[in-house]
Amino acid sequence: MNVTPTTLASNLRAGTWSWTRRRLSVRSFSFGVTLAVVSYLVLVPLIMLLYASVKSTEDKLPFEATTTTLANYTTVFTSPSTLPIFLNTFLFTAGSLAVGLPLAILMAWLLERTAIPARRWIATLILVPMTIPSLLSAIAWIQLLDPRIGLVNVVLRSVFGWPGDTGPFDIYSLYGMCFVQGLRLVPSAYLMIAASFRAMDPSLEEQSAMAGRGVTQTTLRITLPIMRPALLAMLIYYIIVVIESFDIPGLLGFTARIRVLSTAIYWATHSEVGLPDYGLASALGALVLAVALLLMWIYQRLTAHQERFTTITGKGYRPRQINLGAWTAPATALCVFYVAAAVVLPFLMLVWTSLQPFYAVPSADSFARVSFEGYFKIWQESSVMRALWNTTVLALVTSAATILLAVLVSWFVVRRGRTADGLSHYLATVSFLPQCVPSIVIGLAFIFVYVRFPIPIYGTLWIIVLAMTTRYLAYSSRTMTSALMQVHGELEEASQMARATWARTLRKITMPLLAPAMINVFFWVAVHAMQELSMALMLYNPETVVVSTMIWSMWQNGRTADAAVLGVILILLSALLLFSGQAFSYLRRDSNS
Amino acid sequence: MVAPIIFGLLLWTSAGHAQEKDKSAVNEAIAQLYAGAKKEGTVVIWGPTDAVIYQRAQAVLDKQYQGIKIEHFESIPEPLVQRIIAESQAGKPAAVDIIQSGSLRALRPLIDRDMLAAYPGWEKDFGLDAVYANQRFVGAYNLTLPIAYNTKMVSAQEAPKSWEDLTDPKWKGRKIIIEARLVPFAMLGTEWGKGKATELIKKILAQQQPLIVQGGTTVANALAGGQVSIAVGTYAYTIERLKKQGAAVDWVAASPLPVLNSAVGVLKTAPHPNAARFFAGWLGSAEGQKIRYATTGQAIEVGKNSIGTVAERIKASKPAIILETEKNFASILEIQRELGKMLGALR
Repeated sequence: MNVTPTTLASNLRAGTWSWTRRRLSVRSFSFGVTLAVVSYLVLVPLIMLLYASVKSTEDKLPFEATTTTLANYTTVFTSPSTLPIFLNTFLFTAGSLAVGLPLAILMAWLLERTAIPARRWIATLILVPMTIPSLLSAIAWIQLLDPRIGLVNVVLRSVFGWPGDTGPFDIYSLYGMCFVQGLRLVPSAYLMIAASFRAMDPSLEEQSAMAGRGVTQTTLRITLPIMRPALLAMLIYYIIVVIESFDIPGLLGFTARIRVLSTAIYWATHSEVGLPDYGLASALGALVLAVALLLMWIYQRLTAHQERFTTITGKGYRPRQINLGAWTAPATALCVFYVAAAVVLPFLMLVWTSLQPFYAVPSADSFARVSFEGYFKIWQESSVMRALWNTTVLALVTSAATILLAVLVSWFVVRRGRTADGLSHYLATVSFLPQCVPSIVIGLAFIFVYVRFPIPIYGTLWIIVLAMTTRYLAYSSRTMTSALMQVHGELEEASQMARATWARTLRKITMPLLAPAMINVFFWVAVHAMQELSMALMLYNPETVVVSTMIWSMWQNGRTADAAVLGVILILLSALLLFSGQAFSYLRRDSNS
Repeated sequence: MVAPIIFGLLLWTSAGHAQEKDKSAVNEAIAQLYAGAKKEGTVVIWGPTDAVIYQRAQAVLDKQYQGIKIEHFESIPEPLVQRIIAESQAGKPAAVDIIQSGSLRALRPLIDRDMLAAYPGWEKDFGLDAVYANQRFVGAYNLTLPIAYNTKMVSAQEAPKSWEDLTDPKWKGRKIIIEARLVPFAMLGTEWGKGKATELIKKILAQQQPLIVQGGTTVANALAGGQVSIAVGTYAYTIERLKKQGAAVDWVAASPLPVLNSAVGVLKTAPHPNAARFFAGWLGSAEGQKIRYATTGQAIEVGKNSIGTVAERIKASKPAIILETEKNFASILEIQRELGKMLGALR
C-alpha cells in the first residue's frame, strides 16, 4: 500500500489520532534523548576547545588558573609561519581530495553498478587499507618511495638505468603527501558512497537509456546529480578529515618541512617544551571549527529540498548491473592496481619489517637476517593478550554505540528536518563537529570532566569507548544521513498506518533498508577504534591497555620488529572482522534477492 | 720514630672505625627503608621504560628483597604528567608512586607545582651522584646525543667530527636526518649561546636540506636502513644496539656532547613512599643499572656510576659534556622554542 501525506492526513481526520499521538510522544522522547546525549558528548570537548583557545596556557593546563586572552588568536594571525601553513593546507586538501574522491566514486560505481569480474573480492580488498594503521602505512610508503632507498625507486633505477642515486619518485613532497593521503581516503569514502550507489532507483537511469543516452551521459546527467547530497556530504566531511589528518603530513610533509594546519596543532600539543600549548592548539582548532560550520551551512543550503534526491520508494528498487563492454578490462585493471598499490605493497613491507631487526632494503645481507622469532616471542609479553581482548571489546562496543546514535541522529535529521524549530539542523551540525576537535583535546576534556564525574567510568575501558563514540559520530551520522536521504519516507508512513509503533517501524522498516550502510559504518568504526592512538594514550591505564598503544610504545623503544609483528596481527584481526562483515552483507543481499 | 707509627695506626684504626660506623649507618638506613617498603608491599611506576626491565628487576628483587611487587604502566611521560596534574587538581591524586621520564624537562611541570618529594637518602645512603632538583629526581639512565653515521655510506675518516662539520657541502641533499625537536642544538645553545646554535641549525636547514622526523628511534632506523648518511638526535645506546644487531652504523662523540637525563621522581601523594624511594635508589645502584643495561643497553653514561660501552667510549674520547640538569633545563626549553619556529612552530 502506498501511503502519502494526503492519505495520512485523511486517516488522522478519521479518528486515529490517539495512537498517532502516543507514537509521536515516544518519538519525541527519543528525539529529546538523542539531542541531549549528542549535545553532551559533543559539547564537552567543544566547550573545552573554545575555553582553552582564550586562555593563556603556556606552561599551564586550561583548567588551571590562567588569564583570559586573545593572544592565541593573535599569534595565529600574526606569525610569519601562518600564511605558508594555510596555503600548504589548502593545496594538500585539494590535492588529496582530487586523488582520493574521484577514485572512490569511480570504484564505488564500478563495483556497485557495473558487471566487472571479481567485484565482490575487489569490494572487500578495497577496504583493507583501512586496517593498516596510518603510522605503519606511512612508514611502508616511505620504504617504497623514499628517493634513496625506496624499493620502487631502487627497482626503477636498476631496471631503467635512471641516473644518480635518488629518485625518480620523492615521497617527501606535496604531491607525495597528496598521493598517499588520497589513497588512504579511498576505503572510507568508498564505504560512504557505495551504499548510495547500491540503493539507487534504476528507473531514472533506464528512462535515460531509453531516451538514447549512453553510459557516460546517463552517469553524468542522471546518476551523479541524484547523488548530489551524498557526494556533497562526502566532500564536506573529507575536507575536514584531510585538514585534521596528521599521520601523512606528519611523517611525509614534516620531514620535508612542508607545514600544514594539523602539524601545527600537533606541534603545539607535542612540542616537548613543558606542558602542551593547548591555547594555541585550540585557537587553530577553532579555525577548523569555523571552516566546518561554514561548510555545513553551505551544505544545508544546497540540499534544502532533499526529497528531490530520494530514490528508494515503496515501489521497489533493484539497481541493474551495467555491462561495460570493451571497458571491462581497463576498469578491472584499475581496481586491481589500486588493491596492489594500497594493500599488497604496504602490507608486504610491514611483514618484511617484522622479520628484520631493523629496516633494510631487501638484499642478500638482509635476507640472511630474516627471523620469525618475533611472531613467537610476542606472546610471552603478559600484556599482549589483555591488549588484544581490550581492543576487541573496545572496537565492538564503540561500533554498536556509535551506530545506534548515528541511526537516531540521521533519522531525526532527515525525517524531522522539515519542522520549523531548527533542532534538526542543530543536531546535524553538532553531530558533525567532533571531527573538528583534535583527538588529544577530546582526550584531555574527558579527563577533566570524568575525573570529577559521579559515575565511576574514569580509568575504565568505558571512558575510551565514550571518547571514541564522540569522535566517530561525525563519520557515522554523515554516512547514515546520506543513506537515509535516499529512502523515501512513504515506506515508514505505510508501516505507521498499519499501527506499527515508531520504534518498531525504525527496527523493521528503516534499519533493514539502511542495513548496507549500517554494516559499513559498523566496520569503519570498529577498524578505526582498533587503531586510534591519541585519545587512548590520554585515557588508558595498565588494565585498559590496547594494541595501538602497545605498538606505539614498542616503536618508541626501538622494538621496530615487535611493533611490526603486532601491526601485522592487528591488520589480520581487522581484516577478519572486515571479511566477516562483507560475507554477512553479501549473504544478506543474496537472501533478499 | 715509634710515636708516628703508633699515631698512624691509631688514625687508621679510628678512620676504619668511622668508615665501619658510616657503612653500618647506611646499611641501617637502607634496611629501615626496606622494612617500610616491605610493609607497603607494592611500588607503582609510570613511565616510558620497556616493561621487560621491570620483569627482570622483579625476579632479582624476589630473591634479594622479597615482598615488593612492581606495578608498571608503560607510556610516554607527557600525557602521564597531564593526568597526574588533572587528577590532583580534582582532589583525586593518581595512585602512582614514581614517575619516570626520558628527560628531566618532561617532569618540570611537576617541579613547578611542587608535586615531587625530596629524598636525601639517594645520595647519602645509596651513594648515587645523579641526583637533581634538591633531591627530587634521581637519574635512571642517560641519553647521549652524538653524531651518528652509516658506515656503509661514510667511512670513519669522512664522518663529521664536530657539530660545525655538519655544514660541510658534502652532506648536501637529504643526506642528514635530524630529530624534529632539535634537542642537541638547543643544548649546544646553552654552552655556545643561543645565537651560535641558531646560526648553525639555520645553516644546516638552508644548505643541506636535511630530512626532519620525530622520534630518536625513527632517526636511527632511517640511518640503519641507508635512507641517510648522517643522523642527529638519536641516542648513542640505540646506535650501539643496532650495531649489535648487524646494522652498519656508528657514532662520534662530538664535543661538546649533549647528554639527557632520564630521571625518576617520587610523588608527594605516593601511596607507597618507602617502596618508591627504596626502588628508585636500588634501580640507580650498580645492581639495578646492570639489569637495565643487559636488557636494553640503557645506563648511566656519565659520572662516577657510569657503566657500559657508551660510557667507555665517552671516557676514551673525553669530550666536554653538556649534561641536562635542573640548572639548565629552563634555558634548553627556551632555545628549543626559538629553534622550533624554524620548523614552523607558531610560537
